[in-house]
Amino acid sequence: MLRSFEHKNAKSVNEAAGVLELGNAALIAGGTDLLGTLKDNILPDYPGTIVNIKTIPGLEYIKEENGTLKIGALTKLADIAASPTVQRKYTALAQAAKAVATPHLRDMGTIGGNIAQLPRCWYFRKSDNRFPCLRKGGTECFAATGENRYHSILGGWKTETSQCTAACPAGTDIPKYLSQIRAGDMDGAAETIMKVNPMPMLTSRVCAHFCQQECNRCQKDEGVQSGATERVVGDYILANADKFYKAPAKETGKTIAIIGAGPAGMSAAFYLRKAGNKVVIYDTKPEAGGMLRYAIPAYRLPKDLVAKFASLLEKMGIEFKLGAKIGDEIKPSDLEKNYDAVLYATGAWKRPVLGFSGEDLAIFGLDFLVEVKNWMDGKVGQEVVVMGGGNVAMDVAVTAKRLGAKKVKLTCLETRDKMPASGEEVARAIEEGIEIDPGWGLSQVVSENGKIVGLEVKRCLSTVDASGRFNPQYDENDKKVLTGENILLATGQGIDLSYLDEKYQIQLNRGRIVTDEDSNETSRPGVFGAGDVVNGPATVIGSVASGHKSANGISRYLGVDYFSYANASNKEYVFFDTEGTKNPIGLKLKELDAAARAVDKEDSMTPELSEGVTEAKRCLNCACYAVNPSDTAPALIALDAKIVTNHRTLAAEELFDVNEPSNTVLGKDEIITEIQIPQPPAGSKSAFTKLALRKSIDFPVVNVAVLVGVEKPRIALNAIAPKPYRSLKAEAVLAGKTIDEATATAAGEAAVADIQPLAATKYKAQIAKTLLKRTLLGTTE
Amino acid sequence: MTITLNLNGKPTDLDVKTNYTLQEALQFKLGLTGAKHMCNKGVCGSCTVIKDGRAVLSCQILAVECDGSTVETVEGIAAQPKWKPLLDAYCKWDAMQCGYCTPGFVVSAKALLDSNPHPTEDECKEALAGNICICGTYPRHAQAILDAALVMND
Amino acid sequence: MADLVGVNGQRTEFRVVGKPNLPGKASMSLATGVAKFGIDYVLPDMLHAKFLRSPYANAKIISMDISRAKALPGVADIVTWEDPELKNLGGSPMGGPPSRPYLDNYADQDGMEVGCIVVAEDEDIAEEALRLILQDTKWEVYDAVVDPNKGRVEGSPIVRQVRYTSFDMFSSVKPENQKGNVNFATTVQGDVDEGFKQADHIIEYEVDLPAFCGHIPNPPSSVAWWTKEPYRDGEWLHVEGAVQRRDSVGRMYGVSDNRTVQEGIFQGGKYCDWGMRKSQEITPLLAKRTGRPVRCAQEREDTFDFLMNERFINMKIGFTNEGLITAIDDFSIADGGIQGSSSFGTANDQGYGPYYTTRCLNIRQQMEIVDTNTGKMYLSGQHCPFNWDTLTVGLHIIAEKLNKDVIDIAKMNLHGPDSQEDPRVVPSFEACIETGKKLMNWEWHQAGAKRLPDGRLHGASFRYQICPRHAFSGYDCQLEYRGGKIHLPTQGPITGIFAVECNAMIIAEELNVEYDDVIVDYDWRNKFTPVGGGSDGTTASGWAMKECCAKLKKMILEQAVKEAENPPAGGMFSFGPPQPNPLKGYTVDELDIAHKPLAEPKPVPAPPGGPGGFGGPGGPGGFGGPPAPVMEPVVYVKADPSLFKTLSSAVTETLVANFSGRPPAAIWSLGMGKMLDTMNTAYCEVAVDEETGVVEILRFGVVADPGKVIRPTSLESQIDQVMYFSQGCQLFEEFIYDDATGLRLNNNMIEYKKPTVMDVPRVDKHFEETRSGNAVYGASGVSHSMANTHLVICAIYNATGVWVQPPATPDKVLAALGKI
Repeated sequence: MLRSFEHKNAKSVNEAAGVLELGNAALIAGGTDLLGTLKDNILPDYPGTIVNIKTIPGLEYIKEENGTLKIGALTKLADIAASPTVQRKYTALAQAAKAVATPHLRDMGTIGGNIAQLPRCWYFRKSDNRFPCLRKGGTECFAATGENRYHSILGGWKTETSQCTAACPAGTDIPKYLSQIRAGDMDGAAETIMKVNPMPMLTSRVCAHFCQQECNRCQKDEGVQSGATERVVGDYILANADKFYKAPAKETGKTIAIIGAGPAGMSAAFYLRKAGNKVVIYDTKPEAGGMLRYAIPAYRLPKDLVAKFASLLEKMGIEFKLGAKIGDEIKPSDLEKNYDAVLYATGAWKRPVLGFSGEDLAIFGLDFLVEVKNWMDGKVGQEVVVMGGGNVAMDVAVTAKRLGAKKVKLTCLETRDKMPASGEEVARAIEEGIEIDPGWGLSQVVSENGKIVGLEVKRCLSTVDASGRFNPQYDENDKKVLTGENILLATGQGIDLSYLDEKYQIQLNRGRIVTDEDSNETSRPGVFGAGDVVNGPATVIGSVASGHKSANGISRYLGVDYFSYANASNKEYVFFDTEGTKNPIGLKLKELDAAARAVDKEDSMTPELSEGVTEAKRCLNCACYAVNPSDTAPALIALDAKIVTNHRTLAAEELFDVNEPSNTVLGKDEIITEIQIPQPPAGSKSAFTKLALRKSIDFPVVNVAVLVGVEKPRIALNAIAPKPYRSLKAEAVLAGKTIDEATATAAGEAAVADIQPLAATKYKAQIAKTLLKRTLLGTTE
Repeated sequence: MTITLNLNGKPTDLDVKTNYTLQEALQFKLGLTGAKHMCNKGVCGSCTVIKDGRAVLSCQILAVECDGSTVETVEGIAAQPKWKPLLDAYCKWDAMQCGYCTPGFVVSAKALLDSNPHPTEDECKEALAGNICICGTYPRHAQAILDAALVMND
Repeated sequence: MADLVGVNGQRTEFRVVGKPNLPGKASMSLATGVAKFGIDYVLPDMLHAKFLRSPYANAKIISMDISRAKALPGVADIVTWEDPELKNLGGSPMGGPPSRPYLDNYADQDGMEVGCIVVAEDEDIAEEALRLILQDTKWEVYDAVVDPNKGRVEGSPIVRQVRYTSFDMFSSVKPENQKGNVNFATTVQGDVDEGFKQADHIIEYEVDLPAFCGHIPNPPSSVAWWTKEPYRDGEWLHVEGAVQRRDSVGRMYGVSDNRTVQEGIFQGGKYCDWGMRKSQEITPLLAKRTGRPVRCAQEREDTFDFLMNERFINMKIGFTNEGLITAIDDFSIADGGIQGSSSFGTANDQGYGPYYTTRCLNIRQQMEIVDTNTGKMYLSGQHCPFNWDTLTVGLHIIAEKLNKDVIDIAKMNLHGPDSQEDPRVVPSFEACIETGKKLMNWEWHQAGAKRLPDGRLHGASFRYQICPRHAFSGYDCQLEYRGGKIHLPTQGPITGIFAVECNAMIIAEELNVEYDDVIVDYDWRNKFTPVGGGSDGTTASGWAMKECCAKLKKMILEQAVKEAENPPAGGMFSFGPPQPNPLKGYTVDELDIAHKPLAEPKPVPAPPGGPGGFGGPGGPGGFGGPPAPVMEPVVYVKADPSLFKTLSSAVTETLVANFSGRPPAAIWSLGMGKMLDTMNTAYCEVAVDEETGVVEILRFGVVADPGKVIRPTSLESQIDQVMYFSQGCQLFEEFIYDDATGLRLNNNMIEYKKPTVMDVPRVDKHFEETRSGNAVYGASGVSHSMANTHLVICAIYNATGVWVQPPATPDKVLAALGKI
């Protein structure tokens, strides 16, 4: 039975809205949808208050005023169906109202409630929220690969950004580019990625791929290997670079200096140049790429790829000033003077001071990677100890091994499951024979006669305190020595801001440049920051995103066109490949045999395009694939109705959306008050047809409403898509034509021209086109 | 909270929880057994009552929202001599088997005859389209209603 | 067994039996809603119980903390599976000791009662407590299997993580045959390989029997309480709202039958449901523990039990160019059903199935019975009628292949009355098909050959079956004569088959009184129950009742003679000397009973000294004026019907007659080759819309031979019922499970689609009365045997030439037609 709640009778719309505004409340009109929902306890939250709007006077009427039919939102469906006026002039609505459920429910249910009803999907409706789908705050659609015979034929609709996209620091619309790969649209896929990431050929090789871990498939089999697909697209971009790295057609005349040629700086440079600005990148190193070029081992990211990317930027007209002495010859104050905007993206290259005995005997891991050439020829020694649990530590350890160390021991503060390195990287390290011994902290470097013999470590009990702050606790009585000739520290990187001087200051916080959250602008107008210098040492993709954000900020600052930072445009139907998703096995990159691996040769190979397509087909394109079940909705759309709420007036079409959990755009305290329908012109005809399994009670398999005999016919179908579907194509077929067997058939075909059915819904298209054809022909009788 | 119904012609006070449906209130507070608990989802019609002149589903109505309403149940209908022909016809034509859903049908039929004393067979069917009889007695209901209409209109 | 007045044949004229529109004895109670079903019982101070129901299809409770739930205000009691009182509770559906834990910590079905039961002041409090318990319960969740085809494959997850030993007196499923999820049963007659050698054609086809839902409209619910009667020792157990008899519940608690009270007689549609519901079994325990009445109501969601388990059949049939079947090879994969339930009929059901009605002597049936996490089933006995359709489908394929009328094919293959080799046509069948062809304007055509004026394809199909009669139950009849009325004491129950009414009609017929003179006294103390195999039980109990009538009639007439000779003392207000008795001087053999005077009374001179007494003599009398017509039964002199006396005045004593017995065994139970006496046939016409896949049943036709029609109104209604069951399972009804989780997706009345009044087609009916059944007047049962899963499907085949497995929803029809 129902759980307990508070019950309020509203006397006015405002009063009801006021209760809704407070939250944890539900509105009850006819109650036929709500009470079922509550009895089955299907939603994650149960309302504490139910506010009855039936007690609001004056919301139940059918009247005609100035050529407009007005129906109060509380008008019962039975009364609409029985109204001679509606039957005569607004026939489709009368027929639709009559088609709803049963006579009893039509005597209870209101028109407002009918168009605002919740989805009917059986996964959604399973009691006690047994399937926490994405209409209920979850992340997946269980029907997409489950029982979906009554679901969409036009694709799904996202209620919010997919998990994978949300997990990507750059916000790459992964499902979208994967669907473009599936469709054979590689250029489109490239554009989608490059909207937020100009260097997928680089990031795909080094990224931690948070997206893969968040993939809903991980619950069942293997997540979609979006790293591999990104690499396919990345290399496609490289192979077709001319298409994607063009000099801008138009110059803005603005000049921007970017300090730092790492991922953040180059990312910003790309977007700023694309917008037509003149961009100069300064870097102290002799070659562009920053960490990509110097810190990431070549076996993961070949250096020539970085160089190639930099050269593409040069081709776009970006100027690189390498080997520049920032803060020395090149003063920040001069930059600010000489350029319209300045961006600092200088990274985190400094060795941090950790404060343990013998610290200076240990080697800074980043330096080790930068100077890897110096460590060739066995200089690394027989035994090496690496301290650190992140990706850099893994790189250091693997590089050390490949440089000839017989034994590489890696330790870190965190326990195995809390190590910050990505699973892939840890797995690679283990595969290469690195001994991982987690859960230890630095105690002291042990040396004999000035020669290092090992690292003493102490048991780490915890790394963060109750408030989540980094505050490691140790057991000083539990110590041991890890023997080794070299100690490599990969326990973090500091930020070097020595180029700022006393006269030229930027607001800092804990050694990082403080920037505005939206624009990345620093405390100095026109001066921006990006990447590690702002966020601290982070991922490459994070830096790319940060650079992009700065580019947008700079563009806004300069008043030039900019590229939207927010990528995900969810306002479209999405699809997946019903067959391809059945494949449980993710795409694995081909790799060199362990024996063939080296420090300067890329371990893995880019998959073939066809492999990328197969992997792209594994994406479920997580979205809601349930349909809108309303019978009256398509009639209202066909009749071009307006929906009046306490806040606004909407076209019927605009009312419907796919939200959590509702089927409308209505705000939290928004209440439908009236339906307005313009009187169709003389000579026009409207009609509604429904096909359901049973002739009573059932929700539609498909329904269709048409308005014809007008200059611009209107056609709407429902129960075939997450939202009521207006078929512009079918309308176009009919415009100006007489309805006969041929045109009606053509309209039917046009209405289903864009279908992308699920495994079990293809039949609905056949029904939809037949129903539309017959409904049209019915208007000629 | 206390609500007042005009129940089968008599003012009736009921103390109900806010989460009681009308069906539950009738059953648990008054011991009325005519509005049956079947699907509890508003589809089977077994709990049909006439509220303010409409045949509605008492399992989908909150009791608290009936305060001041006029409610007629099958018990009230059966108590009126006027409707004896309808009930007699139901018995004569076996318009029931196990009988669980029957009161819901009778209420729907009464609501139909209220508004349409001379229904056709199709109109009878339409009025009963919200009542499910798992025993499948459907054809007998139209027969009974048509028969009752003849007697009542005599 | 003694046949006191002869079973069949003697009576040719029927006055009451066969008469339509005699109202049901309890119909007014049902129609007005005063009839109380289990769920309707509300007692003062009553508590509500709710089971924890498994949110998983296959899972075991590792730990459960009920402390938060117990602390919830309004929670009276929580009993977990570990409670010793629960451990000792239980019983098999057929009676006998517990075959499995009554409540376990293991559930192999979504929604299964598991772990605990909560008793609270109100249902919502109980549900709140269960939500807390769910939060505080840890589960081990196992992979679930919902498709027997998947479960049978090696390497599929093992369905029964905990296996109970099944008690099942009928089952041929042997534990030693269990391998993984699969058990195996096989029966062979003749030489199947040889049979195929004799064939000119061999066909192979698939028949899917869908799982579909039981037909109990009222969510099973029970209320129990205990009383101590001060004037009698000991405790009395009250159990209301049952699907099983009160005595089985009483016995579980060691309470004798005569102290187990069940006032309620209304049980809802019981349709071959033999299963006890846990609610019924446990409420007495909970009532005892709490000292208060306890109600346990199921929700409709919990009532979607299977009427029939899913089964996939691969059929192979060999036949000659004439259409004579020479070999039948049936390989079935069947859902094994719920653990511990009766699998009667699941295996070896063809022993009374369709194959042995044929002249074919080479028959093999092999069956894999596969465990799944779906087969929740408390029912039994419905399997047999449905399984007939494996042959029905085959006959249609043969007809299509040979371009011959399917009825002729069936006729050719049916064996005759005497043996499997008897080529004669059974008269009952002959009568049915002759009428059936006329009723349906039968013109067989090949698939796709006929279109309706609206363009849709027309299809027709045909099906026959024997009318299996219930011949196993004995009936303890009792009749009382009291004051001119015949009382029929019975314990009920009332399940919708008007069984009591059939018996009342037989009583009226045999005693020659009016139907209204038969008073049914419902009382739980009475022995007689007319139930036992649906309407088949009705005719069987009617047989025993007829014998009882003969005894009572004899007693009435003997008493009439006695009272005519020695008039009893008048009643309290009788004055003067007794009236002269027109029956005086006649013997029992010279008297009879009639429902009303058969002639004008002979004037009997009033004796001097006063008017006639109250209670009236036969014939006119009273306080002058014109004589009132007698509207009562009378005892009369056969030789001179004008000599009579009203029954109530002729016999003033109360008389009681008893008879216990059952009809002679039905032919079909005698063995192979004797399957056929009374039969039935069903027909279906459909229109198939090729563009939408929508199938419309234009009409059903039924020509059945129930031997003798006892109560046509309910018989017709039951025919409608089975045809609508059949329509439902062939067009709409289906259990939908999520394959990944094994959870049921559509156990509600919106998504589980029973036909509505708008959907059901016409059912044209005609009854043959060959009187060749074994029960009263040569009657037999009929309705169950007409339920089918493939009559509509065969009509679709006849329309389109393609097979669509039930339910033939538009998606499947369009797919079969190649439209998608």
